[in-house]
Amino acid sequence: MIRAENLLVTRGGRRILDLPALSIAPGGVFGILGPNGAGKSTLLRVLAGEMAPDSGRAFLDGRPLGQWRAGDLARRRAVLPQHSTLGFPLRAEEVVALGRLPHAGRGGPQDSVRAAMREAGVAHLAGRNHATLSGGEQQRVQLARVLAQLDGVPPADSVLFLDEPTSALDLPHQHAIMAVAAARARAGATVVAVLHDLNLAARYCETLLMMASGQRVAEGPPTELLTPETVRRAYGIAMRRIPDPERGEVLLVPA
Amino acid sequence: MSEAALSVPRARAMGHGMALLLLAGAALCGLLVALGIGAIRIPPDGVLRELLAPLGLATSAPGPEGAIIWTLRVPRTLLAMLAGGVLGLAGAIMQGLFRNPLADPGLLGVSAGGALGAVFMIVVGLALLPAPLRPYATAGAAFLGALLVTLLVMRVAQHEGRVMIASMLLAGIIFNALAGAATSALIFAADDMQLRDILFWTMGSVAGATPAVLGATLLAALPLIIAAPFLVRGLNALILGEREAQTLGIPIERLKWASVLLVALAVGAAVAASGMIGFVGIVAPHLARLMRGADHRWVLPASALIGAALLPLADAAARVLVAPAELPIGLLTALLGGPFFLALLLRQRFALDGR
Amino acid sequence: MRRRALFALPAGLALPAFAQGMPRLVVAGGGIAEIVCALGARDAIVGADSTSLFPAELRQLPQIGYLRALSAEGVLSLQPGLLLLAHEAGPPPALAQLRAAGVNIIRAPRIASPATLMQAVTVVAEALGRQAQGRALNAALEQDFAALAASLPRPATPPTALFLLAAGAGAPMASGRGTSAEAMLRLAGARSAIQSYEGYRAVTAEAALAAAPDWVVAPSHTVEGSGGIAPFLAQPQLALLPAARAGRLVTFDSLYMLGFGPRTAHAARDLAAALHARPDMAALPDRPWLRGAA
Repeated sequence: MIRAENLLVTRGGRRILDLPALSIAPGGVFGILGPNGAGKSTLLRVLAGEMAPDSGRAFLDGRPLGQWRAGDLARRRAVLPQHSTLGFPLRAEEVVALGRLPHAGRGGPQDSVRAAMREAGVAHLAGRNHATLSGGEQQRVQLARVLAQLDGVPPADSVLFLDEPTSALDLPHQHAIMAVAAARARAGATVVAVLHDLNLAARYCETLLMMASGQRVAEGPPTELLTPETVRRAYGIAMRRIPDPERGEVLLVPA
Repeated sequence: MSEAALSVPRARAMGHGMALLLLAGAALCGLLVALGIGAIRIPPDGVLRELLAPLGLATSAPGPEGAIIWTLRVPRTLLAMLAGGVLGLAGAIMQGLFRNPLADPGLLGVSAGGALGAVFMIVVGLALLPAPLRPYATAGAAFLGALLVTLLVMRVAQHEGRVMIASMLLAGIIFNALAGAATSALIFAADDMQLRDILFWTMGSVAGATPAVLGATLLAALPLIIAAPFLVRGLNALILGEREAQTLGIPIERLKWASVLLVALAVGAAVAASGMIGFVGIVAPHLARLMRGADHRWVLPASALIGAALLPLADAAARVLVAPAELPIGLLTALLGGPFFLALLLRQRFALDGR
Repeated sequence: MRRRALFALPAGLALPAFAQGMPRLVVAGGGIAEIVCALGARDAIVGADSTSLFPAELRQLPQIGYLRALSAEGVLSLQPGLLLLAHEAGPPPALAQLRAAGVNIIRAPRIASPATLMQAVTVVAEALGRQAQGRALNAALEQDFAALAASLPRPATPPTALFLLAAGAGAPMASGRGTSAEAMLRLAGARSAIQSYEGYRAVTAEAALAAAPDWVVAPSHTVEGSGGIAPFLAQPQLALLPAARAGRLVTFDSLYMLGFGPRTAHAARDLAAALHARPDMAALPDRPWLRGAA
């Protein structure tokens, strides 16, 4: 359970995040949408405890993030950035094993690593040099790494942050990653994802937050939120909403 | 060190521990070889006898061999071993911290600061000091110069309580240039004799080793050696990236400060005691990674052992190649290290697939 | 160099192993080496440093490196009965190690003038047990310097010279005050054209022009290295100097001119003859050590 109140982040005299209240429940993917510079990544960093807001507070399980010990926090929440470049060559399995760092000395890591790689669908890449994998494969190995980091705590207590996890990937990898995240959420985890693709968000998210200029434009389930009106207010472009004839969801296409 | 990270090796012939034991054996061999050869020929059994004599396990020969080994070869060989180990270990830590296989403590201004201190002492300070202080003055000034420039680099790179790696690089470049300029100004003011002294200092030598120098260097290096195992987790996390390491719960600012200060202390002392010895800090970690990968649980101790094995051998070569004169050891490491490094670079370019 | 086993020595290295009344000599410092040879002890030298280049036979001996960067074990390996050092020799730790190993070390005073040269001769002669030869050498040196002073032309304004150590790439290194080059100019009755700094400095073309030297003085190997006298004087840092235009260049052998040893009076005489334009100036007595003999 994540909660935040009166979040304010100012950079260069400009409010890049200004959010009076926010609450994120486990059990479904919480998507954050908005144009570039809307404050999405800043919000994610504040909620993940990576940076402190200039004022206001964010809570994990009712406890302010500033009061969490780094090690305790690292065993409960993991962050998957958009793209990671390794400083030195490692095998895929070594990368995933690094996710177990916060659990040092707390039981054998072998199973966690293997399970995480299976869950992310990269078990077959274990022995490969990470640098030689495709961008999509690398990102899925990184996903396995954050899954391994969260192994050992009950799903309901774990929080997974995905910061534009699919931006540079082809369609199959985009869906593969979101499917794994959604499955985690269904198992009880809290999952927060910054996304760019409205239709991907509609397909996998339970709740969406639409942001612009650091502020909330709208919040709600995809079917309610993804209207041409909110998209226009956030992005300033015209979209047409058409029903997905097969799945009963919505699709947005440029007008 | 913890077993948690990076411990999913494919079937391996041996563990890191076994490989480290082998490297330690190599360092011991390097030590014995370096003690065994020199301008004066002493047969191996003679060397062994003199080495064991103080333990009461053998009787010293009546000749001067004992003195030659114990007062000439042992101190400088131990200093070479210590300096080599420190340079290798510090190189590995800096490369891990900067996430760059070309990084070395020189980036922080340790060498440039050391050189500035030493040159200042040679050109200006020695004449002002009372004679009893002079023997250790150059080393002391080099040590202070190394620490001072490193602290300045870190101070400038710090912004809002955080040290940015990129700022560290930039500040390092700036202060390297400034220290270099100040050194040049001093060199400009130097007379002929001082110029030759400066030249020899910059090419490095462990010939000045005495028990006092050895003890002081060890004292300054000890914090780094003791702390190294505690840096391993953070450096391993840093392979993923700074943000990734932070979200893995690594206290990243503490890691930076601790690494840099401990490295500056140890390398500053090594530079002070033995002058500028290049390439060990880059070659040793490279060799280590080439052998068994980038896991810092392996790379850190292996780099230290490789450095400790290589430098006594380089010193032995420096002593015998042009005997009865001797070559500066830094000249030798650069001479051997340069081509080696070039080969490594070309090889990596042609075999991007890694291991 | 390592042919002979050290262990044939009697206990320790302290006892000078006199061979024909002479200890095995290791010498560091070109001037000192010349003195040793002038005292007739050349055959006792078994090793010399990289500045001991005259007489040329010294270059055939095992080389112990630069006199400021001696190697303790390297020197020891030559089993020296006596180590003769110029004042500048070092580094101190190596000397301390050699002393601790029982090597007999004699260090000459710094040579910067005829008087200190003769002191050094006395010290070396005593160390070698050749006091008589030392006195004879000093008497000869005294004669030489006196003859030099007597025959020196004394114009109202002494000639000035730009004394260059190296020229070619970049600015030439020119001598100011307090150098052995300046000492030689004084002995030759001339002055250094540059008095504004001590030591050797890179000097710009304009500063050289302002110094307005009567002569340019440069080592012959530097002049030859730049392709001969004409190209040497034509380089931009020198070309504008009246002295250079008039071809007033004196070249010298650096060892002979700056070595500060027994040949110094003769070198000063040759320099004076050139700078005062008096090739007829009285020659000093011929001495055997000019040819490297005793």
